[in-house]
Amino acid sequence: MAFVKNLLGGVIIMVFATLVGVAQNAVRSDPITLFPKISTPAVGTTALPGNASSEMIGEEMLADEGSLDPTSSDVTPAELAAGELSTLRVKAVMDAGAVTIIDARGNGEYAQGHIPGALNIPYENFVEYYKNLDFVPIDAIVIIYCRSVTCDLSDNLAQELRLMGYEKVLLYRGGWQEWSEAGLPTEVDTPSESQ
Amino acid sequence: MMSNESSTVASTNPLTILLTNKVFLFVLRVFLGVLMLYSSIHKAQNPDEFAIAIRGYKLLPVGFTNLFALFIAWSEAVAGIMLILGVMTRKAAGAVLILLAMFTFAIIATMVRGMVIDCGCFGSEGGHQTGTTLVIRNLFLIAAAVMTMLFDRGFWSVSTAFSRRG
Repeated sequence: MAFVKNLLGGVIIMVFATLVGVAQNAVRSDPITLFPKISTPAVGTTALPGNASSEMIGEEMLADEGSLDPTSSDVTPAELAAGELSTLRVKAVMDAGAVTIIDARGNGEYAQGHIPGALNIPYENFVEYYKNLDFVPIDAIVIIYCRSVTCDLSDNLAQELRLMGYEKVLLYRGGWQEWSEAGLPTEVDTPSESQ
Repeated sequence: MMSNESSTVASTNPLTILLTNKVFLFVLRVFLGVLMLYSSIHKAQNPDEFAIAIRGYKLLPVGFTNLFALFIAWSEAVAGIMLILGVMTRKAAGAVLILLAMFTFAIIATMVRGMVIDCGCFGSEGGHQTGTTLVIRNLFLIAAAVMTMLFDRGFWSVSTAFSRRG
């Protein structure tokens, strides 16, 4: 009985402590949102190819993707809505230089080889690395990849970035496996340092 | 005669000796309190970072992770301070026991799913990975919390000091 009574007392202490924490959060200079929402893709904020319209959403846009020039350097609203890019499209927009590419794999895999210019933000140690994103503008187009289509590190990292307010986040699901097998340029160097 | 025998038997049991030793219970209480307070500091200062660690466990809906980060960080801080000072010690130990049980469940859940993630135990400081070692460490801490909750005598505590004065 005393055991249960003390546990219930513990629950009351935790409720009180949470209220203190919420109050302290309300008065701090950089409060966190109590109930964060994942931002939705920023449709209609980038250059539109051909006959695409900023009003187009969903299936209509995806259908229009068929008419997309794969060498176009712009990420289209259709691609932003779909949230994914193919190997060819990653290469095309990367060559245009208007995107930030993030490698969500661990340091070791990154060091062995990665897409040229990719920033290493290992999802499994995101707590240590997320401050490296300070250098990535909030309105930047970000492409995230990991090992291959079966890897979920890029999905998880994309969710974190959307929670942080990034709206133009795309996945390159083929990842390192498809990129390297396609014989595209690669880079080998040291991983980025955590903050 | 019987009671003399039983008390003699009890006094030779090392666990009984420990659990009736005021100094041991005091050290245990303060140890738990300092550990909880220390682990809460970075989390309370950087709840956004701790929320990231919580999301890594994939046990809660994303929308609740920030509030949960505040809940854990401040529960640790308040329970830790109460244990150090000796205010409502047994209830504070009850809070610590609930927290440790939640942490242990979360770590085991990641192990069952084959995940290895940063445990977030001391915020982003330390970088401990989830695994068997953490579970064993937590089981020892749970034992300490149970002992404090059931046997603490309020030795060198604010509560006792005030009740004596009153």
